[in-house]
Amino acid sequence: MARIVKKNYILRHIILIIITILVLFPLVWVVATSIRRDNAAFSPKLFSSRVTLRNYQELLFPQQNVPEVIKDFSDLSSYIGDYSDYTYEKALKKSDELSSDLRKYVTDSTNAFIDIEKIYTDIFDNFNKNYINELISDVNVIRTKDSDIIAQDYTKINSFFEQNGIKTDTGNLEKLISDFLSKRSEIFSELKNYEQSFPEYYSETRDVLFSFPLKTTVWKIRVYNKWKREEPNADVLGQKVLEMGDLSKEIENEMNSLDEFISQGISEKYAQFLDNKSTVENVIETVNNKITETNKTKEALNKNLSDLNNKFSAISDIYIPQKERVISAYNIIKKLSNEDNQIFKLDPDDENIYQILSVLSKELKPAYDNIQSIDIFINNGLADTLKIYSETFEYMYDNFYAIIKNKEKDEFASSYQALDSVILKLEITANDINLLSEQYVDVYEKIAKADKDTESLEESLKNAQSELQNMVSENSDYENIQESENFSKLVFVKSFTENPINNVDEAYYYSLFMSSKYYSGFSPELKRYFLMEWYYDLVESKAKYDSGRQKMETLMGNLINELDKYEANKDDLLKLNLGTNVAAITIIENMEDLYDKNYNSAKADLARASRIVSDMSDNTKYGSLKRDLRKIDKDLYNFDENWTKKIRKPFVRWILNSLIIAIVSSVITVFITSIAAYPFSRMRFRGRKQGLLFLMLIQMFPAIMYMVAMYGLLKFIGTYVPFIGLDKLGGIIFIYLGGIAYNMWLFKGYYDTIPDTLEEAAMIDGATRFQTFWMIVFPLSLPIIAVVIILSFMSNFNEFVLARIILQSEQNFTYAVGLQQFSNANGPFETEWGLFTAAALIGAVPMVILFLSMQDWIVGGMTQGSVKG
Amino acid sequence: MKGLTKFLIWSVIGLINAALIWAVFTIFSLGNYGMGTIIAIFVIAADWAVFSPKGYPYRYTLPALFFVFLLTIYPMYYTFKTAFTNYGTGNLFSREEAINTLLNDPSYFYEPEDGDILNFKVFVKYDDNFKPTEDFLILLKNGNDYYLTEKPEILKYNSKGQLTNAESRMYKIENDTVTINTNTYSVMRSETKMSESQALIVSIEDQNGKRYSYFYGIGDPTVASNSAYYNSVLREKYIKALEINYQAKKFRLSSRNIYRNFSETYRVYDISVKSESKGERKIYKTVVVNKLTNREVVENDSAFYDIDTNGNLKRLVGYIDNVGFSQFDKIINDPKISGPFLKIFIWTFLYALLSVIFTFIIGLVLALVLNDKNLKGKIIYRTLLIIPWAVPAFISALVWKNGFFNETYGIINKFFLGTFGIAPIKWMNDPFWAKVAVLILNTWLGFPYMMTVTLGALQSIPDELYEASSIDGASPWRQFSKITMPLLMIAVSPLLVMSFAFNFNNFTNIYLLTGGGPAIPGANTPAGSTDILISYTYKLAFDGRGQDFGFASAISIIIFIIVSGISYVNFKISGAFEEVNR
Repeated sequence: MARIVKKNYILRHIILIIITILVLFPLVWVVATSIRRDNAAFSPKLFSSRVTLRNYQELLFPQQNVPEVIKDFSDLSSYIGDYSDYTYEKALKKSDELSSDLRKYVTDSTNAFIDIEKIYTDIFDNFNKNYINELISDVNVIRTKDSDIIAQDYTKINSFFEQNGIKTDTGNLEKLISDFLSKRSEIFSELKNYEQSFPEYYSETRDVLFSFPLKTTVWKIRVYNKWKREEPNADVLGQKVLEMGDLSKEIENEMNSLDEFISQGISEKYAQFLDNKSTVENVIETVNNKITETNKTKEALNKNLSDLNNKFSAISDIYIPQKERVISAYNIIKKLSNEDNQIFKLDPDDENIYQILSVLSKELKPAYDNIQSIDIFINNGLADTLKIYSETFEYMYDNFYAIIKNKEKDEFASSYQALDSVILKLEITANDINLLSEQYVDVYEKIAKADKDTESLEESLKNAQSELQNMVSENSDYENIQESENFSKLVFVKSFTENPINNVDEAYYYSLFMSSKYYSGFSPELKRYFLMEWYYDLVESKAKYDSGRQKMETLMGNLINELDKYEANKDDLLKLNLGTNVAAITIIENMEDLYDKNYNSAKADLARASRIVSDMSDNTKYGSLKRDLRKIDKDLYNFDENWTKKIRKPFVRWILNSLIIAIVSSVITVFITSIAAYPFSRMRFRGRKQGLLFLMLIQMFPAIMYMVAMYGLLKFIGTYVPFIGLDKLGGIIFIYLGGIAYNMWLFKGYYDTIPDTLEEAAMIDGATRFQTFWMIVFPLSLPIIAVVIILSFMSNFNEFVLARIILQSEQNFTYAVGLQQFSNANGPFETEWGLFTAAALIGAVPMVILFLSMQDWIVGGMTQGSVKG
Repeated sequence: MKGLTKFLIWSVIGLINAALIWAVFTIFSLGNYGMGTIIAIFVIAADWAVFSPKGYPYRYTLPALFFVFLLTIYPMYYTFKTAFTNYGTGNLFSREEAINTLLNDPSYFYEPEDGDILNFKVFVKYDDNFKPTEDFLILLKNGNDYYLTEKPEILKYNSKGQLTNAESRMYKIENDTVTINTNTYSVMRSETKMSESQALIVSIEDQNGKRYSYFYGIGDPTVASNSAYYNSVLREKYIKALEINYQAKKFRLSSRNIYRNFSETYRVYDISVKSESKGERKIYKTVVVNKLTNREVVENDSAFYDIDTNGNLKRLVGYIDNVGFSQFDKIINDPKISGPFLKIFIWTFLYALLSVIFTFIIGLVLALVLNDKNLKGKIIYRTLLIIPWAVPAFISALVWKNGFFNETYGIINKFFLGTFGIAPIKWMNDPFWAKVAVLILNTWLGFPYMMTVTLGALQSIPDELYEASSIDGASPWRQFSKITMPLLMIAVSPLLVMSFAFNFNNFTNIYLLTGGGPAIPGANTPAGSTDILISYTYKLAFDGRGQDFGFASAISIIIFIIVSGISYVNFKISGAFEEVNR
């Protein structure tokens, strides 16, 4: 029995611990993230072991960093006097502070650079003395693992060949390769002698030497010939490298013939399949080509169409607005159709109109026919318009003489004038419209055809693809057939991985070669060759650091230079702008310029160095190296914090606002509530029951339900009593006073427990009712008052909605509103998790402590329904 | 001594009364009848409590009552009132205020093309330390004529203390002297040999020898260093809204000439009174008239419209007006509102219900596990598990939003789903997953409360019941379903209803996590898929696309009705109606 119970408990503990971990995980994450040094949002790791308290310092005790100091300088110098923040004396003092700050930053940074330099040297020394052998052996362990994997592939494919009766002999090739590799090592050790004397030639030759296939042609021109001239001794080495090129070629030949042999064997065996496959593949390719072609045509057509559309919209602008006028005029002038249409000599104006009409009557009809079925013209009304116009103008052309004869008559005169003006307006388009409409229809039809083509092409592409898919999936040997194409490379890689790595350079190039996926059957994961590249990474980070440091030192030197100039003349420079801004101070502008122009490139170098170093420190197991790398990373981090521009928010101010609001409003409410609860506990009077019910009822309606009203109320009051208005701390305190109904029950309950007898005794001694309350009950209930003050402090501190509505300017935000703004989507801090979590914790920790210590009261209040959630 | 105390008490009562009555009158005169009435009722009730012995117990509650009146009852009234108006963006002012804007806002002034444009210079009296004072004159120049005006005496300010209007009159200077009111000013010119009209005026003296020196002229480099004082004091306090009268002409700082000159400026709109005969009676009505076109401004749809030369209506400014039930009507009949509203309505209930169910189940299970006297470390577990409740909800919501549910950086997508190769979930952009996210957060926040109260209730179930039943051979399940659950539910069900009501209005979690999003397509109000009624109200009234206080209030009223229903149920269950009788 006992045993079962015990076992039960262990299980329970395990479950509970798992649940607790799950539940608390978000908070653990918050704590861990708030002390991270790297940018958590972009980091591939959930937690980081590199910690800093900088985020907290930044929030609670913000210090101006270099760009801010420089900006202050510029603000300071631009305007001093009666209507600015600075008097001359203050400005002088401030300027001294600023320059000493700037000097301090520069000195600190210079010292940090010296430190970092020393650590780098230490790391290199330490590595070469103590860790190099360990690294090489570690590297070879990885290589052996690679080799095993490759060997498996090799066996697998070999057995496939055997099944198909293909006899391969790789002995010769393997021998060539291992020859090649061992020679390469030899040559490299010779090459190393030139590392110091000819660093450029050294590194270029190294790159060539360690590549495969080894291509010497370019190298010969770019390096070998020059080098030979500068240093005749290098010729021997160069010759050897060239020989290596030949050897590489020989290997390639050998590999090719091996591949050929195998592909012959395979194609004999699988001729049918391969044939079918290539047919289908050809189909796919042709169809793909066709699709691309059609798409191109379609694009061109669409461009054409949009040009035409533009032209037509211009035409529409001319035609459509006249439509109604033409219809009405036509309706009137139509009546002339029965008149005699005898020809006579026209005067020049009419002749002109007649000419235009002859064009219009010819052109508009076919234009209408062309566009009448195109939806956009039906929709915009151009089609209709053209129809009417062509009818009108045809009529006019046919009956022109009759019209002219009667054009002066009262009933027709205005109509004719209207038509006349329209005709003159249309003149410019008369000759083009038909042509354009033909083009339009043409393009339109072509596009429709192209669309149809694409559709059918895509259909056939899909079919061909699925056919290929089926073919491949039905053939079980397909995978092997594919791999057999790579067989010679597999052989190469096999020999390559069997060859031991002797030094850091070989390790690095090993990693490069394997990551290049020369043999496509093996793709190493991202960090697999981290160790192989370790040393080269270190060298790169040092190089970046050196270049960044150099840039920074120039920048700092120049800054100090300017600063010296400024200091020498500061009295006069500051007085220049006394009263109003008349001249820009060039020295300070120079400082800003220097920073803006030079810092970012230096930062980029140093940031790169820092990233490499931090990556290395995370993945390195060599104890003392790891520690040193961390140190560099930390120093560079601090440097960056001191020099990079930042977005600042008045966080301390927010906290203070929250504290002021929460404390004042909770003290006032509790004071008022404690008095108001007294009669409900001690007296029986009319309305008591209703009052209690009412209190209970209004608790159900949180103040946010009246948010519109609260806003309107404060807007109204604020107009006349500004300190209780919108965007004022007084306003939000006032609103929170509405919470007096809460906590009434806690007081009433507590008063109920204080015995009446005390008060009765006091009243017998002549005290009034109020005196008994004030001098007996109130002092006795101090504990509950403290409790309720804390509870209502918490609820006011945690209130978000009303504060969000009422407080609008950043300076007046409470902590809650500020934190939300802090992390707003797309806001500057959405991804600044370090600052965000630190800010969250600064508010959360005191609240959690208060909550846990007040636990029983809160639970009690909650279960009575008497504390705001 | 006692007499003095009494005297003090009564005078305080008198003073407070006087102050409140004064406030009532002021508020009435400002047109806020609702608040005026409510404070008036309070004054009467308070005086009754103070003067009648029957009202004695109420004397203690007076301060509390004041705030209840002002911050609970008045807002209720206000919400109801607003729900029947069109109060919102475009209709923010009362009709009088709207008319006032038309009359006084600088954007409704016009400068005639051929109006006079005056250059001006400011002359200031220096004090003994050669500091400029606010005693100044403005010298204006029109062609070859000079004019002088004194510091304006009529000044009007708005509620924020900013100058809205100032007026002064200018007089022509003849023979280098001018008399304004009782002062005679004479002009002192520099002694260069230029013709008299061009010589620089360096100072102006009145008959008592008070000297005003040339202080500031726009664009004059010799006095540019005085621009700070001019801009921050003289212009801000006097000149900005100064209207200078000369005969029938009116001049203001010209907006067309970037405030470098005074130019003839007139109001576009003016009010006039129109008489309308309505049946037998004649009604007089204030109307606004455009002085440029001489047309009456059209009043339509609670807004003023101007008619331009093409006969098109241009909306000038709207005002608050009663619109009856149209806000409620919208909810039912406008398809672009009713559809999203229904979705929000249903989701509000679903959200509250699911939150209660999830938190209760998890809380119950944990409470059952922890409710064992022999379990060691119970208090530690309980304390640790209660922490999600202890962290302020808004902090948790932000942490979850930023760190966990962020679609790109969030650790759920990046680490938990990423390592298993599951495609990232669109926590913020997919309506379903956004709802899941909201519920996850709410469950995490809420289960400690349920665990705590359930634990309390479980501990109050007497052990004897279990002992007796196990003697009778009841299985643990039967014990749970026949003893634990029924007894538990009696204690816990009012709390479940309370929790439902709380979550019904749980604005913070929704707003901070998803902001109510993703938006419901096709809605013309800012309705989102995870919005609950209260967050919808907030977004209508305060977020982004214009403010619609009227509609927001209408929805508040709906919430109000629902919560009242819930409260009634809750009071019934918990026996609150009986409890208050104690």
